[in-house]
Amino acid sequence: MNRASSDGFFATTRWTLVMAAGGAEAAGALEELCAAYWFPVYAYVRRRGFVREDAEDLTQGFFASLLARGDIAGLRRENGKFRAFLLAAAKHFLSNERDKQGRLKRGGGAPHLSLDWQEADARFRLADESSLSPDAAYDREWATALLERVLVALESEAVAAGEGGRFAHLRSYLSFDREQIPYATAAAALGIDEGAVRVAVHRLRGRYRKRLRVEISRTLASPDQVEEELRVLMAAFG
Amino acid sequence: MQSPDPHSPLGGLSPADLLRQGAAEDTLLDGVREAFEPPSLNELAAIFPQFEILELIGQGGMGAVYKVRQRQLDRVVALKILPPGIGDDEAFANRFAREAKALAKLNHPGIVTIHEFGCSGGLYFIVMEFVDGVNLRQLLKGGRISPREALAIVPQICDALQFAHDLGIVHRDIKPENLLIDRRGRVKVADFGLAKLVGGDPDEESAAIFASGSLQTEGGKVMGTPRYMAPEQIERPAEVDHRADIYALGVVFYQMLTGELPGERLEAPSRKVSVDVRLDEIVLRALEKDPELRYQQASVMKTRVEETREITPKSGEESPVPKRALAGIVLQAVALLLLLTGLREVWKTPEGVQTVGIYQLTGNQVPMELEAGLKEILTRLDPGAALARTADGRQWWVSVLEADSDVGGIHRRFEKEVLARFGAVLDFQEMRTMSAAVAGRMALLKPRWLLAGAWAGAIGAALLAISPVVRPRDGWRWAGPVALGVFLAALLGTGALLILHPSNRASAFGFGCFALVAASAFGLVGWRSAQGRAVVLGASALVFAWVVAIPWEFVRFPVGPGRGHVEVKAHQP
Repeated sequence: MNRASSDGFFATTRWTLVMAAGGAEAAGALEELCAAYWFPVYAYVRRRGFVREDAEDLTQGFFASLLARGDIAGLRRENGKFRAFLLAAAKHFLSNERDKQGRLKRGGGAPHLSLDWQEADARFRLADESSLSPDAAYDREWATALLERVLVALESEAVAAGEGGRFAHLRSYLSFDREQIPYATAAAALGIDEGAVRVAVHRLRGRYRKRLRVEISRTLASPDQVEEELRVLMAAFG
Repeated sequence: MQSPDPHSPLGGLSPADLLRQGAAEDTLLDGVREAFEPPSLNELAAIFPQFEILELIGQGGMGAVYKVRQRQLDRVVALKILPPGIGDDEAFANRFAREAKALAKLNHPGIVTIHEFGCSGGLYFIVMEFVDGVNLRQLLKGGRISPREALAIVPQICDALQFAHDLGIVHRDIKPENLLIDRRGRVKVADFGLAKLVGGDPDEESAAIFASGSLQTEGGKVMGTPRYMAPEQIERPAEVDHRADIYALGVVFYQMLTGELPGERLEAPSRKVSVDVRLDEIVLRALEKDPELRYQQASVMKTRVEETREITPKSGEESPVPKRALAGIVLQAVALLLLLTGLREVWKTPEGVQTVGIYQLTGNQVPMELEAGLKEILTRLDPGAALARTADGRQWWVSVLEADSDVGGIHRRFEKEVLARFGAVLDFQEMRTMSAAVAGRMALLKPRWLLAGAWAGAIGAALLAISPVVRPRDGWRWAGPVALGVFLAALLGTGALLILHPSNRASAFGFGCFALVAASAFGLVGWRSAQGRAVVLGASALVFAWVVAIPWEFVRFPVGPGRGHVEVKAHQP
């Protein structure tokens, strides 16, 4: 468990950095956040009814303009939440784009996110959210992207500690109610005793919860909103 | 296991489930408990040569407490060890040292004293006061704690919390396992601030593990610490202040009263079990979700609890009898016996006439043999008669109860013999007669017994009156009001009889006595209630007034004892 790195997380969340006065650091932070959460925007655009190619163009264009502008003036209205900000900005962008239909240009020297459209399409089709409103789909995808980052971080943590194999086996228990966790099966599969599995699972769950909150806090201006944001994300699946 | 779908971002895991589990709080260490194998006594002895390891007294999820003897001081202390690996980084060591300094300042009789902190042989340990007793969890497990006990325990916890809060130290993990009760019933709060010490932030798994495992001795299911956590402690751990402890104490209090933890919908304790409704207010206020609405200080909560305790130490099913009330009841019983003894003759004596013959000394000298002679004559004629004289021996007083058929008979024979023998010095002056019905009985009363009974009754009633009112037992609540009704009936009924049948005073007297005894009996049955006590007090006062009035009757007729007369025992054994 990496205590040292967890100290002071809340003090400098990424979004706080972006919201603070500009500078190269802020630009870097914004780019990092966009790279993490571009897919929800793409899913939103698709749900708005744009076909694949148009959605790709629009999403790329949106992030290009966002990063190019570099300033986020007037965006503090969104309660200090990057999720809300990004959606509001995307809506704004889409309505502007409709006005200047056809004048869209890709790239063109603007800052550029390298996005994997191939995977994006597969992922969009996989997520059967046709019954959802674009906004709800956005929130779901946002949560999924967030969780993905959490799991990736946990995995790299585990791999660094030489426990990659164990993590691969135990990660699925993160979504289980505790009573449902088949400790005995896991113990047999991993070749360790059940007590050790319980400890490992308990620790993993603890790390997961912590990492989840850290990840959420990175998209917020204030750490106070973590639990609230968590509830909102859960509600998206309600 | 599902094989991760390359396109599925979460490898097949449901984001909704992941979020749900992420938001939840694992109730304690469940399985982890068995994972921590506390060191054996021998292993420990090797690490801590300064201690004689006596026994393992408690083992929680990942903490273990041993009873040890400090060799140098020859004192028994508790040694708590943290599991190896709990603090394997420098940050922990620093925090441990820093917090230890703060906790060492907590010197209070209600707080388990910390003697020493340290790290030895790779084990973090805490040496603390050994409390010879049980923890509240064990008490709760043994059956519901009576509300009276809860009212004795809670103020002590409040004291300890207030002390620590004044020093800026928040416990953060108040729960039954951490509340120790020694053999003298004193409460000591254990593991102050350890939750914070061991876990830098309360999310920290080791904090939960360590804290919840503290002094947990038995196996069986451990209630998770989160059940005692204030809402803000779960949601915004960074903002926790001393009011979180007050919330946790509220949960503990609720559990002591009802035997259950507060549920989703918070039900007032008095709705679940029979406790004073004023306790509801205290418990519910401590359990306010918003810290601003709770008691702001533990001391305030303590005052409220003690107020409740003073006025009604009682609540719940069986409450012990206060000592004063008990003494009052015993005195009442003694009084009843004394009064009955004093009245005994009245019931068995037939109607008769009390007559008193008065003799006056004519000479200047009281003959030496006068008293013995009068006694002799009287005893021979009527062993039941009484002889009295004035202190100077100049007036003699012969009291006789005579059958209606022969009023004055004894006096005539007595007079004849007296004058024959002492005619030279003694002269018959007059004979007075009292009414048969009232005075005849009156003369048979035994004033000393009655007086003793009246005093005992009055004191008993007064003791009862000043002892705290207690909650009547279920099923006996009627006694107080019934006693009051009978008492009023005794007063009104006797008055009515006297007005309607002025000639028949005996009936009124009999009715009054009977009703008063009945009222007193009901009053004693309902002694826990204010009405019952009022009746006992009232009846005692009446009896008292009546009994002290008896000598007055004698004063009127002809001269009361003690008013110039000395009783002369005429009876022969």
